[in-house]
Amino acid sequence: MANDYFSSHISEKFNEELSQLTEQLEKMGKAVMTQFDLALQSIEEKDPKLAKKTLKKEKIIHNYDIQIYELGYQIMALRSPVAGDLRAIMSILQTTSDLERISDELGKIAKAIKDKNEIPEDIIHIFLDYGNGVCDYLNRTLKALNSYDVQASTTIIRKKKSMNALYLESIQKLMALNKTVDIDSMSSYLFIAKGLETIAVNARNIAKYIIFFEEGIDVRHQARKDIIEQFSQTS
Amino acid sequence: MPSLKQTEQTRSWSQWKKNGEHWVWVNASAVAICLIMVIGLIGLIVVRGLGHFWVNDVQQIQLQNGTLWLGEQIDTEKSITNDAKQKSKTQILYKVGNREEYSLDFKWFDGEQIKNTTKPEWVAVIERYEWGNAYGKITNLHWQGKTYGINEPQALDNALQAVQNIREKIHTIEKNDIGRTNYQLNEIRLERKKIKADNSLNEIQKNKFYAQLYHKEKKISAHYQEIKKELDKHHKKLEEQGYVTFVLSDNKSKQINLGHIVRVYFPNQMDVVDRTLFYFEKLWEFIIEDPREANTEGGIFPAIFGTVALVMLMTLFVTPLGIITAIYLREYTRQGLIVRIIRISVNNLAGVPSIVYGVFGLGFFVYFMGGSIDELFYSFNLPSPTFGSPNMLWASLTLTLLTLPVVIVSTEEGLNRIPRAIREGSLALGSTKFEVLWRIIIPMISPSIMTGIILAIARAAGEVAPLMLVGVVKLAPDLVIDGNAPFIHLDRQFMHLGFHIFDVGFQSPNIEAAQPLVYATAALLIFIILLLNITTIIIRNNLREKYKALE
Amino acid sequence: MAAPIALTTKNWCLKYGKTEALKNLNIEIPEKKVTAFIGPSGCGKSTFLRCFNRMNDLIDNVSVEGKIMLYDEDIYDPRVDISILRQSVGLVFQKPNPFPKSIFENVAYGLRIQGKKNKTELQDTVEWALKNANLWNEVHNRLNDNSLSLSGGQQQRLVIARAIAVKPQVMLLDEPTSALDPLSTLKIEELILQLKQDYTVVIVTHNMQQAARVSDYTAFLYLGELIEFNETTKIFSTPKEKQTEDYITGRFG
Repeated sequence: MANDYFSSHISEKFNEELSQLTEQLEKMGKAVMTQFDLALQSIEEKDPKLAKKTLKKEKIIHNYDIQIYELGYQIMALRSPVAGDLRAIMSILQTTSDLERISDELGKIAKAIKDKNEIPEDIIHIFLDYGNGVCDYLNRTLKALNSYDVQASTTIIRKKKSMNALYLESIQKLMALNKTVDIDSMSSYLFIAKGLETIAVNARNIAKYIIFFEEGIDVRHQARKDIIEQFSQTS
Repeated sequence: MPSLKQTEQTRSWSQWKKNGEHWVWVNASAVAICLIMVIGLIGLIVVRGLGHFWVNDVQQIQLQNGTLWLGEQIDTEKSITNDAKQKSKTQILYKVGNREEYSLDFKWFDGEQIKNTTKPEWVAVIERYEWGNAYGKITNLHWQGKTYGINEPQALDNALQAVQNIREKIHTIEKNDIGRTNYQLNEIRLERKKIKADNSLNEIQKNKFYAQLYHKEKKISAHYQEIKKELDKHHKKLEEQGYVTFVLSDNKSKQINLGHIVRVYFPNQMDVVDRTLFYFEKLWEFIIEDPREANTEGGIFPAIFGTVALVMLMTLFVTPLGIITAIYLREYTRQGLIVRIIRISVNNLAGVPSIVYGVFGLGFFVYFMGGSIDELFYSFNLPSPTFGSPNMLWASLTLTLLTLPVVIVSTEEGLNRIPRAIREGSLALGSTKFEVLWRIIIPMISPSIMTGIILAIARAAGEVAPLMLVGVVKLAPDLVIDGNAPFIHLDRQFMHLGFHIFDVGFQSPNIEAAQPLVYATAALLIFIILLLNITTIIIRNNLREKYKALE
Repeated sequence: MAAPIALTTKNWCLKYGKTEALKNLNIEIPEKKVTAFIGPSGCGKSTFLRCFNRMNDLIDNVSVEGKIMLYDEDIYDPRVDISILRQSVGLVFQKPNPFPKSIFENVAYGLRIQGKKNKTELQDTVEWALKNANLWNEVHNRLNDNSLSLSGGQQQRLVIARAIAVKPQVMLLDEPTSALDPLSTLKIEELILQLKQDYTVVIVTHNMQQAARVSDYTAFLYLGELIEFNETTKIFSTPKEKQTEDYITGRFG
């Protein structure tokens, strides 16, 4: 889509409404990223206060969710959008949903961290390694979102393999330290890792929504191979 | 916040002008003046015309020199004199009747000549078939051998009734039997002429036909003789009914044959009820009877008949012609320069003076077309014209031309108002252009067509000038429609109310007698036009209801 | 599109004098489906529609090129009887135009033109047509009333009944609900969905939502050219041409 896709309507009001929608989404994305950074920081610095802050961020993100939901719903009721506009709103709403889940997971991670008084250094490393990977993944996704980049989205989907590998690696590393940690803690740590994995899955979903918006094809349940074949220009 | 109401300042003359109220006043005044003029004119005609039939008192005038006169007071005139003694002189007009005695029905008397006037009860007015009214005193009646005095009024009624019966019988025989036989004899005469001129027959064949005709003629002549005998019998009977002894105002006594009497009445004895009944009787006579005495007495039925027949015939011709022309101009031709020229010409035709149409009708219809028809079909009758002379057919065609522009314009107006969607709707269902016209458009424009007809009738019924050249006569012996086959005779001339007014008013010898008739005829003409218009308007309104749709 | 085709145009061009109104249109309109023509004002959709029953013959300086086939007959063949064509291809206009006659006579009009006089036959056909136009229930007891006493929506249905009484093969509807209120509009749309069981329907509309609701196929015309023609669902979810997308989302037109 052209860069001015959301400002080329004849109706100025419609353009404004759509712009509002995308701006809110952008802000929501930024808020989620901030929350993610906070979470990672709280792990690194072993600071329960930061963890608390991370939790608080959820509220802001919930508000964005509600606002975007309402705005999207209004636009559909009043404007009966079709084609690209309709796909845009559908993708935005779905993205919102996934972002909200990401935030939710981050909150759970933060809570788990907060409740833990002491986390061994190795485990912190494991989390930071994996966490930064996922954070970077999500960052790329949100970048692709802002510029409706199909290529970038395809790349994100291609990276499913490597992200899965990263996850398995972190689990393996955690399991290796099984003897040194009690059951409760281990289950918390595994839980945190799982949370990060969920965030990666949700980021991938967002990439799929971008493809739907741009190309009009629903790739949510298509195989990775097929998606890469269809949309990658370098394959 | 400023008030919504007008302030004193704003209710000024300029505000009044702004509302346009001054124009309302100007227009209303103009309309009022027009209405007054129209009502005034019609009122004058109606009052004077219909007043003609009212029974007036008959006065007995005693002059200064002692002579007595009997008469109805008709008019008063004041004239200015140079006399030093009196500023004005009054003259009074009386209808004294008894034309065979005094050579004029009407007489002017000086106001000061008259000593006194009385209204005697015994005054009788006798309406006669010749010489107009007689005013005087009936002394006695001789009827069928017996004599009756004035104390037996019933006898007079019976006698007059008997006379009336005989008259009616005579009238019937004359109109029907004699009329028919005359017509048949005329036909035989024409037939004979035809055979004579027919070159395809040889002598033997011709003689055979002549013999047949002769045979027929003989039979009809014999029949005619019989009828004539009977007619003569009746006439004799009429003459021999009796007479009335009548004394005039100068004591001269005379006998008036009962057979010459139309009616007798005693005006000074009649009260309002009597007079009203008498009024309607005279009005009825005016409408139904034929004229007498060079159109100064009797009724004007033939003129009414002629006018109505003319208007109907004209409508019959102009309606299809006008509709077809309008439809052609609007629907079938290309709307180019030529069509515009035609349309302008049609509109301008409406402004041509009607006498020009009369001249055109005379030249083209009467002489050219009538002459050609005579040469082609009636050559045996020449040099007597059959169709080559003014008659009903040419008169109605002339009026058709006169009113054609009006019908064309109204029809075109109607056609313009039909929305294109209706036409397209019909065409989209597979109809041809003609079917659209016939099934939908013509019914829809029928109110406009009726408007055109109303205007045409209004124009035509009042035209007199052209008719004088193409078919109207002072006195027509027969009506255009009668009981003899082929029943409609368009080659006859006819009488017309408009022309009648002109003729009676300005060509008649007896001006004073004619004057009230002029008004009466004018009133009747207006009434007939009104009736025709109302009928057409009702028809149009019904059609409008049906097709109200469009608005 | 495997459906049988009712109307085909081949390189169809139309000119008003020197101005080109329709340029090289090639379209195949499927039988017994609803096809919608959409496009901005003046793009030629109504003009194009009227070509199918040769109503443009009525306009003076129109010249045409190309072919239009109704099944296997060229409708511009000089041997074609236009009356028969117009009874095969009916047209309903934007503003309802019933004749100022009774309801019965309106519907029977086409039949009378065909020469049918038999009273029973007329009555039966009129009843059938009114039932199929979803108007019978509302007027069956006042067939002799003037047609102009009906409301706008009823009048339009009457006009449709009038058109289907002559049993056409194709029904052309030129913005049939532009002049009607929303409820009547929906009733007519319901009727259209019914009609497509028996007739091929081509509808011109300004209202894209209407085209989306009612049609199976949509053709987008712009400045006399056919920009895109496809199944309606595809046109409104993922149109191929940018022009189409811009038009249906309201970016121009």
